Amino acid sequence: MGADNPERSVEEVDVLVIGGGVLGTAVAARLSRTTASVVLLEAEDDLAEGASKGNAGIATCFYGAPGTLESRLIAASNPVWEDLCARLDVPYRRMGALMIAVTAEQEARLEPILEGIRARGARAELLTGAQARAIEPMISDRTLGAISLPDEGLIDPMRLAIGYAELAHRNGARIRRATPATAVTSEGSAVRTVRTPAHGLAPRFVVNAAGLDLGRVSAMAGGEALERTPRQGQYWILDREVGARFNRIVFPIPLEHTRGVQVVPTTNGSVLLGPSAQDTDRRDDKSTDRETLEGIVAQIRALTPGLTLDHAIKSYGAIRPAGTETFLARFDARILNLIHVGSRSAGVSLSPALADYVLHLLREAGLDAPDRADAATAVPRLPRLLLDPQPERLFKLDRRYAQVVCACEQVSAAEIAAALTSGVPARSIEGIRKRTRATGGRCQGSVCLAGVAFLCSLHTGLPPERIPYGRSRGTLGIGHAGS
Amino acid sequence: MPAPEVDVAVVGAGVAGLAGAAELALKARVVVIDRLPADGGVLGYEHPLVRSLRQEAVRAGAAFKLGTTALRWTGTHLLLAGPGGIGWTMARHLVYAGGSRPSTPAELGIAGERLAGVLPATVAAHLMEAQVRLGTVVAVVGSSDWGRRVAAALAGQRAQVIAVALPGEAPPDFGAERLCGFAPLRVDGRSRVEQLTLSRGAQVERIACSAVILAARLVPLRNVDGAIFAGGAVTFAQPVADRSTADRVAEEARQAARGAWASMAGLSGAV
Repeated sequence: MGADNPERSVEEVDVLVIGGGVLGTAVAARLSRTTASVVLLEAEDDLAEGASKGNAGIATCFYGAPGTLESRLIAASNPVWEDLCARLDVPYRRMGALMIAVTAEQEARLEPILEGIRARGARAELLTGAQARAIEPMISDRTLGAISLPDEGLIDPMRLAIGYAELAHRNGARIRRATPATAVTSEGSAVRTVRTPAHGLAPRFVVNAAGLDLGRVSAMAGGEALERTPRQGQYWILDREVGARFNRIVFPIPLEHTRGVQVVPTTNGSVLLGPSAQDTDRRDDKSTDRETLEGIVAQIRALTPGLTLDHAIKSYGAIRPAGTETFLARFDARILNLIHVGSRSAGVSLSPALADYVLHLLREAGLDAPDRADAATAVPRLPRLLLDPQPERLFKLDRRYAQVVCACEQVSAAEIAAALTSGVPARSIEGIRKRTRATGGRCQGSVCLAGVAFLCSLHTGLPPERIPYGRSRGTLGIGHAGS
Repeated sequence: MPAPEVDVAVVGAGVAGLAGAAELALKARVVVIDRLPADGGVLGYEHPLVRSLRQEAVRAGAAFKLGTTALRWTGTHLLLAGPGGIGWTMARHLVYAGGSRPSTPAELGIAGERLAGVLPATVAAHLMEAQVRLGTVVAVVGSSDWGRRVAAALAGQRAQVIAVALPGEAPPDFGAERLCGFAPLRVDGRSRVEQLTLSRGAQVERIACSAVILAARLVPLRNVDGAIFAGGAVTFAQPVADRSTADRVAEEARQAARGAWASMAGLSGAV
């Protein structure tokens, strides 16, 4: 009888976060350390399936116009990375960057760019071409000058979103994946209920962090028209042994609407080349095309002529949410318990301070939720075979560390088991890749993908043919051969 | 505990690794390492050539560490993970005989997103051994031995195989439908691959399929850090074995091993 009555099945919650990308999970993690009750809804099967997955993984120290909230949140986030990433078990390296000028016109722009960066509160230093080449031998002989940015860092953005979500889960937040918000009921100037296929929720506040779906969620709630338009970027990934040749991120002189194609070493040692920037009308356009990929290589040659595609591992396309407002962190103008958060290009980089800022907005609006003294501030650290300074000792912790499943990325059965049994566990091959890097290396799973599938099968109870491969529920097989 | 010491660590216990070890173990202390618990590589441990090479290597004094993955090579030390634990072995030289694998989508220049149903032949073979049905209509890209092997398994699942030979590849001798000289351009689909686009000059073909198996352009499989590029104390014994006989692979590996020994002798000043 109760199930037939929608009023009875509605779950009250202080804050409902819609969207499991890096912003939504950051907000949920911060709120989970207060007395507020928190639910996070993610429409896709896993966290970090939108822009949080397909980005270059730079935790930047400068972005946005000086003096803006976006720029201030980036400046406030930058000093915390080492501590935060240690607590959330997220790979991070404050590697620094070089922005290099290879033409006279570009050289003339260095001084004003330098001033702009300093105005945003970031450290930056002008170098001659010779100085730049001395510290980064891979860059072009034609480098005329450069700006050194020591506070630029590298981060694994998928692990960041997962780390935030794991912390939120530890503190009692309910993280619901494969659970889209399907309908919102607002009365007057407030959201009253949010429906999902399985639940009804009655939130006091809603944080809309839905990325590309920001506008759709706002429209369902009767809020402002906030259109997000997909902007597509394509990337190349090169081998870890190429990555070892770089000491810094290498940027070109930025263009008006984009930072341009970059050489980005990653936290796993590989190198990203990209992204391209094309506005598209297809929100799921993760495809790549040869012309764009060749264009990336041509632009990279101007920066680092010695870099070739001989050790390219893969290319991929990703979507980031663009729009007239490139950054949002504010209440809706009409619906007074709805906050929108979104960022086209700097979501990762401002997520720590944005989470604090959203909590501040909520408290100002009447959320009585003091910080809890007993809240967890860290997740357990999982040693990684590839990165551990003393891999020999791992066998004593767990004998499965000696069972190497993915040899390219040096991922052991212990790490895959941990990914499948954590608070917000992997449920697909892609989920395991995001958490461990298995299948994402040089051979792209040629050797290990079947083994990863069998381990996944062992832990989830699903037969191998029904193991989800990536997003949208595509599975490894179409059935069992015996049936 | 000090790291155990050998003269040569041979990574890979397939035909190439066994032949290289047989050649070297007469002169040097050799350990053969393979990630699988049995030797023989793609040929399997019962293959007659594998049996005779194993016997030769053992008689010459080679030691074996099977079920053990080699992870990193520093030029003097090799990090191994196996049943006994994780640890370093000292070696003067590394002979890397890691076999080959089909090219990845990136290496073949296939555009499109990561879709379910697009699999390397190596993985497809494993999954079919576990009774996973991969598709009803399956495009097998590449007329290599891997293509033939996967096509046979697919036929056993009553899948319809469309064989695609790349430009420069031999015409396929398998498949209900056979296309020659086509380059794969892209894969498309919603949650699973639905279409493979191919081109031959100006001609573009679109194949409707529920799986695409990549079996083309074998490349050396390299996954030991520090032994990816040539140079240093590494010799690669990875003849890309397709359609050459196992005997030839063994002979080429012996030659590579002799080269390794010569370079070691040259370095140490001994003969």
